[in-house]
Formats: sequence, C-alpha cells, structure tokens
Amino acid sequence: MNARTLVAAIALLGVGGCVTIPREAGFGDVQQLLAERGVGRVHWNQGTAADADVERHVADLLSRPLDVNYAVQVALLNNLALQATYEDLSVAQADLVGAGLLGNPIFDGELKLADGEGPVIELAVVTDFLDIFFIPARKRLAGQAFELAKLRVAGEVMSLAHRTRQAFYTAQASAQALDLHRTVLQAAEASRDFAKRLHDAGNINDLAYASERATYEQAKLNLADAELQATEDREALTALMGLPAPTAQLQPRLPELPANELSLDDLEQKALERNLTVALARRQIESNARALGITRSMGLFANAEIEAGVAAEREGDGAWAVGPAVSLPIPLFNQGQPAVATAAAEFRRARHAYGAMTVDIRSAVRAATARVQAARVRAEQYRNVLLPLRSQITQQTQLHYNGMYVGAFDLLRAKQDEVTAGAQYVQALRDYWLARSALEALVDGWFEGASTSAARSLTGTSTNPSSSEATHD
Amino acid sequence: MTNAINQHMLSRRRLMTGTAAALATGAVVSPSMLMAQSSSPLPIATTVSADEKFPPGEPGKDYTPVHTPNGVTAPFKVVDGVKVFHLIASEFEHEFAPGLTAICWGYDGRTPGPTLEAVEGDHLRIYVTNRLPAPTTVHWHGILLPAGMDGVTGLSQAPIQPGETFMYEFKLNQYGTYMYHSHFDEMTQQGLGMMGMFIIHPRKPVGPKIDRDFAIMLSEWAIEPGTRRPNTLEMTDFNVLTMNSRAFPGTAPLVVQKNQRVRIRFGNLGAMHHHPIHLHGFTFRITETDGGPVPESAQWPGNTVLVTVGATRAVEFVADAPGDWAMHCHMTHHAMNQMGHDVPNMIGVDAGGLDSQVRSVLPGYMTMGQHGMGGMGDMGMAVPHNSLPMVGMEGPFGYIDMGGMFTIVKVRDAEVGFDDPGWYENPPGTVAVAATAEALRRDGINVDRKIDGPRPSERAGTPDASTAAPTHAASHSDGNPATTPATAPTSAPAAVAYACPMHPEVTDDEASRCPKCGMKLVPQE
Repeated sequence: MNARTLVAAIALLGVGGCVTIPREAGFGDVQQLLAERGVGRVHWNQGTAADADVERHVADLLSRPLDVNYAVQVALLNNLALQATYEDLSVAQADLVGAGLLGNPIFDGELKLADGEGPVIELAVVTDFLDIFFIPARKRLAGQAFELAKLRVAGEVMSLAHRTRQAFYTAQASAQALDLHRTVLQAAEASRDFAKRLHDAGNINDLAYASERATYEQAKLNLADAELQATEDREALTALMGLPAPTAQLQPRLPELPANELSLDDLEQKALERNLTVALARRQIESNARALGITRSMGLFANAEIEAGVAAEREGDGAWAVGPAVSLPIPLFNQGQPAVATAAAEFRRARHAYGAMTVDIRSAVRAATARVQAARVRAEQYRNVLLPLRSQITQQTQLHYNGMYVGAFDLLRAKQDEVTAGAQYVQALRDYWLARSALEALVDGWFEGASTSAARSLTGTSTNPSSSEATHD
Repeated sequence: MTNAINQHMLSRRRLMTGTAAALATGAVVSPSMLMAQSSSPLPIATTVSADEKFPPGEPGKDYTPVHTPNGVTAPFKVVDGVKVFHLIASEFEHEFAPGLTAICWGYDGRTPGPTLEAVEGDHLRIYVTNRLPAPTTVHWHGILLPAGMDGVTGLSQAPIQPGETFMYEFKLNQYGTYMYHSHFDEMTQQGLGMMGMFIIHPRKPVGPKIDRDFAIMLSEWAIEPGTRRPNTLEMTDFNVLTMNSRAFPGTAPLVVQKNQRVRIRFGNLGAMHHHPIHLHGFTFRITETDGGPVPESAQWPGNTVLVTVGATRAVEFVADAPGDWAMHCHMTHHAMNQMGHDVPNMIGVDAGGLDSQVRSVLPGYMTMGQHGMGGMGDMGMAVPHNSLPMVGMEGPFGYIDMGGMFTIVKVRDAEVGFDDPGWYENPPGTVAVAATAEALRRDGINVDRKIDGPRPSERAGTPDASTAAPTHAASHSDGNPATTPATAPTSAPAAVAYACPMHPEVTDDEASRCPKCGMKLVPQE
C-alpha cells in the first residue's frame, strides 16, 4: 500500500468533511406548537430583514392602549430572555447534526531515526469502529433531545405569555384601584374640609374635628400604598414586555366578566393531552426508553471503544508495510452492566416522574377550575348584587340627606363605602382573570405548579416565583 | 273589697240624689253649683238624675253635633230605645299628609276612629268586631260604667280574639269630653292608631250655646322616613306629631264664622308627650277637663292649653277676629315634620366653595341648613319615598314652614260651612310689609344703628360666619320674591335673576322651578 491508498482511506473515513447546520433550528415546529395553542406571533431575531419588521410591529402595538393580548404579543416579540431561550434550539440542533457524523478518524504518526538506516515511519489512521453501527441510534437520541428542546422552548414561550397575562391583569387592577383610592381620598378630604368649616363656625368640637382629620390622613397613607403597589405591578409587566421604560399605555379598566365561561368539561384530559410540560415528560420517557434499548443492544460494547483503521509502516529499508489495525477492550471487568443499570434507572425515573406529574396536574386542574368558578361567583356577586346595593345606598343616603334626616358626613361616608366596594369588585375581577389565565395555562401551556421534585427536574426550567398563580393576592 | 265598692257606689248614689233634689226645685243646675254643693266626694258632671229615663238624644235637637276635622262621627241606630253602635277594628293604609302614608290600625278603617257622640242619659250598646291579627279590647276612657265594661284585657274582660265580636252595654250618667282606645297591648295598638274621641253632651243645656264644636285627638308616631309602618317600640323619639292623625299640611282647617262661639276639645293619647296647644288671635277659657266642666269661677283664661297624656281639655272662645290664625303645639319639634335630629349643626357654617368640591364625588350634593331649616321643605329636592321632610305648604305670603301638630283656625265674616274657604284676604294696611324709606325717615329709624354687645369672636383665617353672605336657598331672608314689595329699603335690586342652586346655568326671571331637578330657583346676587 502506498501513500495514495492511505489518502484514499482517510478520504473514505471522513465522509462529507464539511457540514452546515440550518439556522432555522426547529423554530417552525415551535411556532406550530404555539399556533395550536393560540399564542400570538413569535420571532427569533437572527439579524435578518424580518427583525426590523418585528421592531416596527412592536412600535405600532405600543402606540395604542394595550389590551391583554397585545401586551402578550409585545412580550413575545420583545422579551430578550426569550431570545436567549431560542438559542437552546440552536444547541440541540447542532447536537443533532453532530450525532449524525462519524467520529473523526485519528491519525497517528511516528518517525524513528536509526543509525545508518533510513528513518522508520509508522502511520496509522483509525476511527471509532462502532460509530458506523451506532450513528442511527445516536441520531435518534439526539433527535429526541431536539424534540425535547422544542417542547421546552415552546413551554418557555407559553410561560412568558402566561406570566405577562397575569402581570397585565395585576397592573390593570392596581391602576384601577389607585383611581378608586383617589376618589376615596377626595371624599375624605371633603369630609375633613366640611368638618373644618363646622369647627370654624363653632358647631363641632376639637374631638370631632380631629377624628375627621385622622380619617383623611389615613386615606392619604392608603393612597400612597396604592401608588407604590401600582408602580411595582406596572414594572413587573414592563420587564416582561422587555421595555426599557414604562411607556406602554394599558387599557384603563379590567375586562368585564365574559358572558360565557370556559367549557370546564374534560379539562383534566385536555391538560394531560395538551400541557407542554406533560408532553415533555412523556417524551422524556420515550427518550429514556430508547436510550435504554440502545444501551442494552450495545451490551459489552456499551462503554467500549473499538477502533479500526489502517496502519502503515515504512521500514528502514524504505519498504512500506500496510495493514489493518484494530484496538478493542477485553470485557474482563466491566461487561456493560452499569451502563444498562443507569439507563434503566433513568427510564424508571422518567416514568415515575410522569406518573407523579399526571396526578399533580389533575389536582391542579381541579383546583384551578374551582378557583375560576369561585372567582366568577364572587365577581358576579359584587357586580350584580353588592355594587348596585352600594350605589342604591348612596342614592338613598343622598335622598335622606336632602330631607335632612342624615348629615353630610353620612353622605360622604356612604360614597366612600360605595367606592370601597368598587375597589373590592376590581380585586374580585382581577382574581377571576388570574384564575382563568392560570387554568388556561394549565390546560394548554406550561405547568408552573409542578410540585414534585421529579417533575421539576423533568421540566428543566426554574419556575419564576413571581409568575406562579399562587402568588396573586 | 266588696265593701269598698259598695261604699263608692253609695257615695255616688248620694250625690246623684242630691242632684235630683236640686232639679226637683226647678233650678237650672250649673257645674259651679254642683261644686259648691259637694266639696267631697268629687262631683260627677251631670245635669239629670241617673235614675231618670230619656229617649235617645237626637243630633241637632238635643245637641249641636261635634265636628271632627279630618274625621267622622260614628253612625248609630236606635233599637228599643237603645243607641247601637258598631266599631270594626282593622288594619288599613292611612295618609298622614300628602306624601306620607303608613299601615295603621284603628276603627272603621280610620284613625282616629269615628267620634262616638251621645247624650247624657243615653243607653248604649257598642259592638266591637275584631278584624285585627291580634286580640283587642276597647276601654271607654273616662266614662263611668260597670267594671266589667271597662275594657282592660284580663282585668275587666277576656280579650276579643281575631274574628270575634264583643258587646259593651252601659248607660251614660255624665257628660263631657272622653276618649276610647285599645286596652290590649296598648303600646302597640295605640302606637298604631287605635283611639277615638267619645263626646257626651249634657241632657240639659249647660252654659252659653256653642256654635262650632270641634274634637281633636293629639297623638305621636315614630315613622322612619321611607318606611310604611309606625314603629311602636319607639319610646321618646317621635317624628310625626298629629291632630286627628294628620300632620300639617295634611290637617284640615277649623272653619268658623265671625262671632261664633267656638269650643275645641282636645284629647291626648300619645305615648309620651304632653302638648301645649297654642291658639293665635284669641284668648280662650279652659272650660273642661276630663273630669267634666270646670266651674266658671275656676276657668283659666289663656291662649295655650297643656293637654297631658291621657287627658282631655276643652277650650271656648268667641271668634271675634276674622283672619287665618295658627293653632299648634308649642313644643317646636312637634310642629315640624320628619327630620333627622342626629345631623351636624349647620348654623353659621361657611360653605363657600365646598359644594363644587363635594360634587366632584357626589354630583347631587348641596350644602344645606347654614341658616336654619326655614324654607327647606320648599326646595323641591328629591327625598326618600314616603316621607315628609320639613314639609309645610305654600301660603299666601310664601312658604309656611310648619308641620306636625299645626292647623289653622279660619274665621270669616261671611257665612261658612266646614270646608276650607281659602286664604284670608287681609284688609289693606293690615299686613306687615317692608318699611318704606319714607316711614323710616318719618320715624327717625336708622337701620345702620350700632348695637352694643360682643360680636362672635373670629377664628384665625376664617371668615366670620355671621357676616358671610347668604349662599344658599335656605336663607331666611329669601321670602317669596313675588310678594316682596319692591319698596324694600335695603339693597333690593330692581331686576333679580333666579338660578337653580344645583344647576347654576339654569336661570329665569322669576322664581320658577329647575327643569332638571325640580328645585326652586333662588335669587342671584
């Protein structure tokens, strides 16, 4: 065998020496998953002309008062953490491509100089022999990992959408509550000013006047609290929307209760079918099962490195000796059992984690359904019964005031009570929307409330404490 | 016990025998004679012997019938020489004044019940049918009768159960002004209106002939504005004070022709309060108590008679002065209609600028009462359904801001019936008007005269309330612009524009009402 043969062998081993990895990296599949779940447009900034389009679109959205869907849309397009998450796809994609390649052959060369003779040259090109057989299996595993990555990324998007929705309702409610607090303060201020005039006229004593002043000053403090709360809630939304400043305008009032409730039938089943966290756990089992199968089939060779190649040697006399070379471990101590045991344990772990997750999510769906129903009843009770009553009380107090059965203090207090009931309604309405979006997220999105450590480890994401539906109120 | 009753009966009989003896001599018996003849025991108001028999007294022939303003006199029939009455106790809707009704209890569908009217010596049978949801009885208040006819539940008789009819039978051996009322669960049943007047005329004429004889039952009610049932649990805080269960402006006037001799009989079956009833324009004599006639020598002259709880009083006077004369309880809170007494005292409060501040929260708000309650009922502001806040009525010279136990005695030169003849037309020069500049000059009146005495001390930084310009419709000085003479010496502008106190943009040349809220327009400065 001569040098030409050697080069040919190297060329043979190095199948397709140059590989390109598609930039798209499964983003289309992620978009497909999201579209099935009614999530708005997503875009991966990859320095193309489309980026500018998206930027214009975001600017356009921000030029109007946002409703919840537009706010989510801005977050989906504008949140940089999400862009970072998309790169997970690139990584998985690259892994997948890598898995389809043979290990690079290893070239080994020695040059020995001996007295009086020509140099002795030893050359060898070897490659991992088993690769040839294992490439399809490894590709399948990497493919699984890629699919997991897509699910995980889609889940991240769903999670962001959910958290944005929650932050939006919370911010809207705080802003609305702030307005009501201002009205309460106005009423308290009028009460205090009225008291001052009575005091000036000599008609009420220092005690009564001080008491009205204290009420007013307390209302001022309450307003300050409400202002801070509104700012904090607003900033949480601003951050999720990826905005450098709280410039977005929100529609000023929470949406009213929808006439029709979500269909609450079969939600547990739907959640098991559609929840991305659950889907991820399911696929993880498949992946682990495949890994286990592969490991088993590899048996002895599970941890082995079997190398095969060509070795050539030039003797001092200048003659080339060429022949095949092989190196393989002798399975004397490790016959592959630990690898199989590990894979089997990982498979079982995935299965148990999945089982735990289905139990968790069923409970979570039931609890969330109950929360939606209770929140609706509560909000309806405020809207249909308590608010009309409070407003009737104010009207009646006005009539009683007109008849001089009650005084201006009673009238102003009735108004304050009405406004306070309005604030409680806003809170009830907010709780309804939070509960509803939490339920929707459970059924269709990302299971933030995974309670078992196994489930948490499965999802591979750290849950954002501020986004959990358990944090409202 | 038996002994004591016998003793009493004996003493009563002895007295009556004495009276009969006096009659036998043909002398006209006057109450003063009775008093003189028997210093002890107490006299009974009689003109004839209890043993004498008389045909049932006839109205118009044996007596001038009593008139019960806003009420009726009970009808009767005569059966075998016995006057038979029938009262039905029941529940019904009663109007206290236009704008206020409530579910009350009474007799024959009214409160007070029909005035029972009879003559000394009449033999009565009174049937009482109970259509109430509760038992009841009737007590004949002040009338001397057998103990078993006295109507006290449990003590005198068994209660009349719902659906039952009881019969009371007794002979009238006295005359005077009496009453009847429920004596079962009095607090509830009287609180709901179960009462009436019981007038007994003397068989033989006593004193000068009376031309107009009025009966007025005084009572008090607790009716929360907007409710429609009197609260009989109330002990002290009564807010509807009535004459014959009507509150002014729901009270019918007492119409009299000039120089008629008038008797007004008052009974008080209110729960807690005595009522000093004051008559304008006349001096009367208190001629009767619930014991009967007051001897002439002991009759009090006066213009206010205190009618205590459970008592009756009658006053007499000759209506020699024509005009519209007020007659009312002089407890000032008894001459007001429903109002809150637990509201801030607004007198003298400077409300400038406050209204717009409050209206930003409460669009219907207006500060009221800085100058008192006068005119409050006239403002036309929306008030709770079924209530009489501060209501009075429009009079010939503006708003009459009285309510409750208030009525008008209308004396006319012309012949009149009992119907309201309208407002009195005062002869020229007999009505108080704003002083003319000429008169002020003539009599040397300096309206800017300095007066002594400390002025209200001022608080730092606040205007003196006493000098603050009136900002508000309830000012006393508003009056009725239509009748305010243009000769008023103080700065009365020639042309006054009127505006709604709630909607300043609504203006008019005259004191009309705001088309938006119905409130009366007030003069603008």
